Amino acid sequence: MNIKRFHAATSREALAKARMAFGEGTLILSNRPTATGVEVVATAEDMLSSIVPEETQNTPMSLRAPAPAPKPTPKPTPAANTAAQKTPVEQDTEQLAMSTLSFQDYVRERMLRRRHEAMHGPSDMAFEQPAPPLSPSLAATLGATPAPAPAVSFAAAPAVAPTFQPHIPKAAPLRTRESAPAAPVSGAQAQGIVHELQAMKDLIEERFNTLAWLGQARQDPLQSNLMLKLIRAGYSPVMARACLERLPEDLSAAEAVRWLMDVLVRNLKTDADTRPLYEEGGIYALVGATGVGKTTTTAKLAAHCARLHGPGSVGLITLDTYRIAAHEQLRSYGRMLGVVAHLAHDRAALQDLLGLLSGKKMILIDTTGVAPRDPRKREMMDVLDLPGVKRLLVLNAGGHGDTNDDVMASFKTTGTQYAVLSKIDEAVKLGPVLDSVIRHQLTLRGVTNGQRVPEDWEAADAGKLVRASMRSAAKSAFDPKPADLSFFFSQPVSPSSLPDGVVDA
Amino acid sequence: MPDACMDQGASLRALTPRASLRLVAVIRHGDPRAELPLLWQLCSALDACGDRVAVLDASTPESQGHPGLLQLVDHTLWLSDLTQGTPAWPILPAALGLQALQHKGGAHDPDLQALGQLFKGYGVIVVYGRTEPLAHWLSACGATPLVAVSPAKATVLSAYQALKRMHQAGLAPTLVSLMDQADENAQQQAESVRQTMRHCAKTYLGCETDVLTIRSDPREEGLSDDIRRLALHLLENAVAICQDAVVPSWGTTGAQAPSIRSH
Repeated sequence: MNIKRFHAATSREALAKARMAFGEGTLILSNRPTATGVEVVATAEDMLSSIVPEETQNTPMSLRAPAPAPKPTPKPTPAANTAAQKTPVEQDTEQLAMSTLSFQDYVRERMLRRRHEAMHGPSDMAFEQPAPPLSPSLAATLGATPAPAPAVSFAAAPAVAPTFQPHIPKAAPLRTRESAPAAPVSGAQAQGIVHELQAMKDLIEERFNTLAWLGQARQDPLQSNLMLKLIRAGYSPVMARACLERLPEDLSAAEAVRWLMDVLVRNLKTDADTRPLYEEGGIYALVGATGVGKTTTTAKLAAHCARLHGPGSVGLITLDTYRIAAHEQLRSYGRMLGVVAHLAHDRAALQDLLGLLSGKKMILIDTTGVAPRDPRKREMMDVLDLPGVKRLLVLNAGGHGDTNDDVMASFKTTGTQYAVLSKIDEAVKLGPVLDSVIRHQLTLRGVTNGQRVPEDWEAADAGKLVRASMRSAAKSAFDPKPADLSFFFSQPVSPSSLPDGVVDA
Repeated sequence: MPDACMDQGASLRALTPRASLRLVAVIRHGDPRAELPLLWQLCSALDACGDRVAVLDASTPESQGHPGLLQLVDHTLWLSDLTQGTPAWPILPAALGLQALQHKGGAHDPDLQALGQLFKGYGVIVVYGRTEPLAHWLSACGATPLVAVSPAKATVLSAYQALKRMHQAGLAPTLVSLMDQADENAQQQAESVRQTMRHCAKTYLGCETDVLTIRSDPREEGLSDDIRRLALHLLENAVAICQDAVVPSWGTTGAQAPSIRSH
């Protein structure tokens, strides 16, 4: 039998000694403070299996040290607490002493100890429970030195571990055109050739159709002008073509413009037929890229709900443990509203909080802004994958069309997809974002048009947004001229960019 | 007076409810070695949230040598007299003062408004005391007290006794199983305590109750995430004391459902 005791000044040193003696299979039997430091009793795992009966092998910590012959203990629950090593009288004495210790005395002792450590540096004395006072009144003991606590080494309080490890996202892989893999056998090779021929046929047809359409458009100045207007407003060539292909003939210029705007309005989904978010209630997680205004939008929605239904109707949670002072920012808003802003680090904590706030009319969850290709995005989406939690994608209204497309594709979710347009007041052109919203068939639940909380929030009005997008802006270096239009349509249109039946014209 | 600076929250301030004091209760039942450090950590966390904290120790009676809430209620002393030289937060003996407030307002309507006026400028009052003298008072306030169960032996029994007493008074406390270490053994103990409390509550009291598991190392100076979360949990369920009226924890008044609140 090979059970050894190891003495050291600190627990860490004693454990290191035990590990040096028994290697990786070290089994700690007991760990208790002594007058000179810490005593650890340990053995090797394989030794224990040979001497301890099977039913007690699962509770090695219940063995008391020193134990010349380990006996099976009847109690299944282990007691690793150092208090278990003391005699019952000592335990009762300590219990009685603590029971008479008031919170005021406890706080005074703790503050004194803290001041002492600040002046003399962290001591080796254990920061355990305060020693029982020498007399019932703490005032009598303030002048005396405190009773020497057992000289257990003070394990420095570990710094609060950062909850997020910064991760440098890998560079996005370049998009390459998909190509059919080389067929190893002749049958597959033949099929590959067939596929390529079909693709070439589609390409030629598309080119001829485009040329025919361009020719027709040039011959029809109205269509040409409308196309130019759409492109200048920021709409994509795909959208422009999809709309104008269906333009009825024999319309005057004014009627054609009205028709075009009606098409765009009809295809831009909003919640005009339903109640606003803050009246409908529910659990909403605001997601989106960095810097789009998620936290401010959260505050606006919370304020509107609190104004209508009272502060008790709103729950605020943030999952943002990455941005500096994210929780503090939401807490500041919450304080102004009379609402507590909670912080959740993981899915389990979020679930607990949703249970705590289950009686609220509306629960808003602010999240960390992540780029579409950020590997953290998947992790965050998994945390939000809880029943009843709906996602609200916050989009920068002034964003570039490709950027918005990327964001919408990466934050895509099952079911109805909701979005909020932010920073409408800063956007020079609304065409790109409206174009993306139409093509991805998102439902707009609101727009924000400023920084003020809560007044810079409006319901999403499709007509108003489309009219604003088509309003002529000042001349821009990015606006095409009529002669440039053919360049927009010289590349084949990808069939996936506009699913069939998306544009209702 | 100069005009306040305009910022994006200027209009939001118009919606800000009147400054209210929040009342939180922590029950003392069996293991001061775990309860006092937990109370310390909770007060620190509440203080870190930006709220001024005051502690009413309902287990300590006031006296000439140790004045407290009773002297404030009787207006024989000012709060500033009692808070001079306090190390961290004002900790006042309050056993007799709370009884006086109850007598003043009535058995079912303690005079919390007086408490709010005595502690103007404070954000949170933490009442700490034994179950018996506090149960009816807390029930009348509509508070949700906190009962912490440590791994030490016999605390499960005392915690259950406290739970039973509060259940009889119509209270639905928040139960917490404490883990003083992060190892697997401590987790198993905490889970065992959690299951035991849930089983006893369901079998003998007929109520479904959830038990939170909180890591609270009394030796640590810093605040763990669990403690911060628990502090916010307590704030969420706190009783708001305004100048005009008492608003119980958001949603329900009077008897409260154990775990689900309706709005």
